[in-house]
Amino acid sequence: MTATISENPTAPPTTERYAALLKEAAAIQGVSLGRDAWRRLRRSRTAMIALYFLIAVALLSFFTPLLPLAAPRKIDLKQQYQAPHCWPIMVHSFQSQADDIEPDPVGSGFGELIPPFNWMLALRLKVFGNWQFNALMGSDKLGRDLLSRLFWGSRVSLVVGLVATFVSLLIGVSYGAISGYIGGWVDNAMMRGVDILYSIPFIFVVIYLVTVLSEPVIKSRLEDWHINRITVFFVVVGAIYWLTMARVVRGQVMSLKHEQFVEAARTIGGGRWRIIFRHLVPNLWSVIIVYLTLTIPNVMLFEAFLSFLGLGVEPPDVSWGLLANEGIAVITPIKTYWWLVVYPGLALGLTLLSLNFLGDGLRDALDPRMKNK
Amino acid sequence: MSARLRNLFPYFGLLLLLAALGWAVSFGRLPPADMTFCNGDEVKSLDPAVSQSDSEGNVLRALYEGLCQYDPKTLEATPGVAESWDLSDDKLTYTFHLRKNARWSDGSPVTAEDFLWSYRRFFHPGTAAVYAEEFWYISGSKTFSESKVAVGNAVEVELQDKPDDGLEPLYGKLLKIEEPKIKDPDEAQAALAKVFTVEIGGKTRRFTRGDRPAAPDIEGCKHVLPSFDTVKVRALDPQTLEIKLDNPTPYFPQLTGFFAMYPVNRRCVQKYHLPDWVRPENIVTNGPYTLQLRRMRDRVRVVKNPNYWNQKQVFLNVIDILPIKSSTTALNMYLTGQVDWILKLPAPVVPVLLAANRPDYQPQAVLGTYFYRINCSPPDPKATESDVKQQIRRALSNVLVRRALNMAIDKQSIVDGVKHGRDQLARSLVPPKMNEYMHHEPALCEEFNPLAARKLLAEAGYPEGRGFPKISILLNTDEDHRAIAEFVQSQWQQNLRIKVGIQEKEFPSMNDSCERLDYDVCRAGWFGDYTDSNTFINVFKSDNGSNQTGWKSETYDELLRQAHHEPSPARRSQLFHDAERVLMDEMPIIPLYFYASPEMARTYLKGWYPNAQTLHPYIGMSIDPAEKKAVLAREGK
Amino acid sequence: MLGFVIRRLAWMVVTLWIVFTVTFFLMRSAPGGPFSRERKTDPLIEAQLKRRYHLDEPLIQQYGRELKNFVTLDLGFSFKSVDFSVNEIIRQGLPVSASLGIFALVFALVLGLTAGIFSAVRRGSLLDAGLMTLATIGIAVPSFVIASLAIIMFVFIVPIFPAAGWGSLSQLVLPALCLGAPYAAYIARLTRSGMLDVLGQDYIRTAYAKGLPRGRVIFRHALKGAMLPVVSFLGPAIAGILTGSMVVEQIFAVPGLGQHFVQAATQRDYTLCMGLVMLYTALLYGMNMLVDLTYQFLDPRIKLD
Repeated sequence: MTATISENPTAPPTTERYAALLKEAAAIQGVSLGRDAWRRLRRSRTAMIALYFLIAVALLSFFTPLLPLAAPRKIDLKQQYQAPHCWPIMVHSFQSQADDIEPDPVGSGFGELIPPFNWMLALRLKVFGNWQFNALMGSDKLGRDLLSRLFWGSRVSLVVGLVATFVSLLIGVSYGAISGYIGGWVDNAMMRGVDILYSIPFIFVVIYLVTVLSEPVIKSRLEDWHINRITVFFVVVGAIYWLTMARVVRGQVMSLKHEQFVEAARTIGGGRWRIIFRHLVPNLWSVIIVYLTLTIPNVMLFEAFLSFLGLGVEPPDVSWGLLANEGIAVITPIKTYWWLVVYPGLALGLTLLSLNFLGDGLRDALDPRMKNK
Repeated sequence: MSARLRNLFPYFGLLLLLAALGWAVSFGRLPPADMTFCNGDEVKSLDPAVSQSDSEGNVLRALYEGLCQYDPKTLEATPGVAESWDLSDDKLTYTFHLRKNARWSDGSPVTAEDFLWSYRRFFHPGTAAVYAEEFWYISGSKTFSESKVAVGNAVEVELQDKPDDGLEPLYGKLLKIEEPKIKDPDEAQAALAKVFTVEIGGKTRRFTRGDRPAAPDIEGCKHVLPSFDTVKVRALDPQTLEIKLDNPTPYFPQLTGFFAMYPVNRRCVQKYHLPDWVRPENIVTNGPYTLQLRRMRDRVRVVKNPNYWNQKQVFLNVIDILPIKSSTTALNMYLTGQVDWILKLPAPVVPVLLAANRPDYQPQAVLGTYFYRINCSPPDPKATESDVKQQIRRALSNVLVRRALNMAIDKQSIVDGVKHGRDQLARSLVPPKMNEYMHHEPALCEEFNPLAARKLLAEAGYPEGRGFPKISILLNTDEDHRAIAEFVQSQWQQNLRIKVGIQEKEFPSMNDSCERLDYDVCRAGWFGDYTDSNTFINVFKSDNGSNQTGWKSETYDELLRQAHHEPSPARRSQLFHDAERVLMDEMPIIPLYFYASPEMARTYLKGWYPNAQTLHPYIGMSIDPAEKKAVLAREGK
Repeated sequence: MLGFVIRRLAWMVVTLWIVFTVTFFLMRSAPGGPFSRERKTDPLIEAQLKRRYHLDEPLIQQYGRELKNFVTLDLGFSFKSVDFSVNEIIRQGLPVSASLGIFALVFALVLGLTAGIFSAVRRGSLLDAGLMTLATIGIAVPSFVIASLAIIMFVFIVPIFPAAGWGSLSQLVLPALCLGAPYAAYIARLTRSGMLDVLGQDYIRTAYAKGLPRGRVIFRHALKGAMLPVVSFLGPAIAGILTGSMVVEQIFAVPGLGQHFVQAATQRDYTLCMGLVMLYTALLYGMNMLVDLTYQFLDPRIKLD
């Protein structure tokens, strides 16, 4: 702007001239960084497939109560270890229980649902009546339908992944941005803190905390506030995975803070916090998005790991980690109920695979060196 | 940093890696054992008095020998260190005649004194032996264990400066007990404030327990106990041990073979103390094997004891005992021939194995019951209405609720579905297998009846489960337990419309919560320690440490007391039946099924027999290497 | 460089002290002590037990004592495995975990680097796509699933390895492979991207222009640069392999520290917890320091601060 004015000091600034300038600017703005990245991302076939897959998974898991699935908690020991059978696709075995769900959701095999999910369930019963999918993926040791459990489990797994990552994002970005922007001894101290935290064996801390927090004394207190172990889990994990994020963000902020737009904001009197969170952080979103797609898989794997140790979600809740763990319990040399490990493994594997592919694609797409290529 | 050095760096790295790799693969190799088996869990201690689980029993049985042993098939008492024993006419006094050639692994003879000293240590309150109360049949042992002293009696005083397990007391006569003026409401704390005046060697001394005496003329001490002479165990001579009991106890000889009652070597214990005396280089034992190696989570290796009196019957020279927790891992090792005997099977393979009718898997009913404990402790009257914990206590201390919980479980489905028909539905505490040893007519609890259950719950004030607090089932982490709990959870939710959670813990932590009565409903299993109904019924006596339900019934205690004094077997059985009736009416427990032995042992393991207590003496066990090879070859391993 | 090492070692002491303090108070603040399982018959016996572990003293005194013991490397007796001292447990378990870890790491490095280099050199080929998909699967599937499938594959269908246990080289192979697999996958991906970065740089073009053979360019010139991200990954990787071994150790019944780690935490074995946390902290710190040093060897542009 200054350049424009100094170029032509004699010409009086007229409104027409400004309008023209603005118009010109709007035309140039055409390719924003985001749009440019999106264009490049769209060219990567694997990343796009991954993206569509993830969107599908997210939608399906959100709208699971609408789908004509068997009740995920309904135990029927006569249906134990049924191999997948695909014909007929729909069966009528869902014994009414329309009235069962309305007055008392406890006995229905769906668990308690909060709005809007209970409305979805009611709608599903209106639309599909007693029809439900056959055991397309077989059934488990208690005769529960695996397909349905996979769908309902996806809700827990995805929420765990997303929320934990979000928590880590919140902490990591704020910490890193503050540390990087303020600099000096504050930065030094904050980064030493991160170094120290890096050396703590966190798996241990999580196991310990989860154990302690599931003590009846503490648990009942938490349950008064409607906090269960899984909530605790994602807060704890989120509070741990922020370290790398903080480092990356700090690095970025350090390089950005002497840029002109920051100087400009400072000149017009922008406060420290305003500059950090209004001006700097929005410029970091490419780093953040890439990091997101790589943290979610880590958290989901960690959830699976905790399930393996018996510290994951509590039955009758179900998650993919729990299902995978139940699956490996039935892999024995004498008898293998393959569907119980293959399908949960696939669900978990494909989702994480997609997240990884999407992360790769995004990293390439957001790489500034690739601009306009 | 010179460029030269930098160029060398990759080679340094490589060298380092190779060195590390070399070190990694250079660990010592053990020669293979003659027999290997998977023991369920890590053993906590090799001190018999401290031990508390069957997996410890499996190791201790190799290392030590009690007065009697077990017949591998019938579990009858057979001669151990005692070559014979006599029972007095009043059925109260046992005289054990110890064999002259019984030796410790250091070559010294095993004498009656050794047993006397070991039993003293076992009952001593400082040892805090978990099983001590199971052996209070011996006259005076209860008073000794509970350190109940009376004025005028002979006492022993242990001073503070002696080691914790040191059993070197001062003997004297108790002259006076002074109670503090203001009595601490906590009984245990009050006991600490008592001042004991004891005459020792002609001098009068005053003692108080603990290390902070209230006055300078009072000495601190660890324990003031009745003199051990009051416990009716006598070493009449080095080869004769006389034990007097309070009540006729037909299974007492069997009990002397129980692992907690094994003798320990006095010199060894007093020289090294716990925990050093159980180290392989220090430990002195008297059983068929001695300890060679103990690596945590890896193995306990025992080798034949050259000083054992019955060496001729010990055929296996080296036994490896592996602490394998995962039943799938254990099965894998079994099928590949790495181990010869496993204690547990993963549930999904059971129906397949049963259908295959393998000769090495023929499950038999054992003396074991799987049940749920219900925490019956009453609510705190001072607590507020909104306190969830108190709401749970209020609900579960109601007998109608407990009965409803029992009637709402379709146990047959558990037996068929989760246990695959191997185990048997339970409606009583004492398993029917007991009938093979004594006549025991079980008292049954109510059958599965969801409608009646719902009605009962309504009667208790929770129609359709309304207002019923959320309770949780506590269990130790295990696939089978979880499956059963999930089933029970769904049954209660479906049939009673109540909310149920599941909480998993490691076994020790679960046990811990049970002892503190810090649970709602808890999974439990009880295996008979001897072949008499008492081993089950006695558990739920008010003051039994294994009761762990907070349930107390005077009628029950009284019936049991009568049974203990009853010499006639028929009337005794009837009393046990009546007691069980009380238990099944009040339902502090919900019996689910009777165990069948889950063990699997190779057919080439000779001398191993399935039995009612899944208890297998190593004496007489053998493996023919040729047969082993043939069997494994047939399986293609 | 000596200055750097000394500075880092000083920080290590601070780190260890902070971790010690935090762990100490974290554990002591949890409800239900380690002895709550002992019967509450006699307070004196409990007191005696507490005295054995010095739990009867005021917290700050306990802290001082434990810190002193820790400095002299005496970690006391395990609360739960009463026959063993913590030092003994570590002495028995650490070599096992270390063997397993080193094996897994070597495997991960060899496989990862090879796959990464091949992928990068043949960028866009079917081989590249196949290797990278495999690597991503390696990252995406939980290790316990991989381990279970590996057992079925290599113990039963193709019986070449024993099912579990410890004591021979053949028993080491399968757990090490399962433990190393995800790290091999990560390393492969890192090597590939690092390699691609380097291959596009001017000095590589110069090397080719000078007429050097392709193999020489790749291994002498490019690889060193491409190793940088791999080396910086090795720090966390070693940490992960060390702590992550608990799943593999349980499935293959390997008597390493991983299982103790979980058990100590779930059973509140204070002393063992403390010993293991401090051990791992020291190891992690040491490894991170080593990585920083290595960095400097590989890239002269990097200055140690």
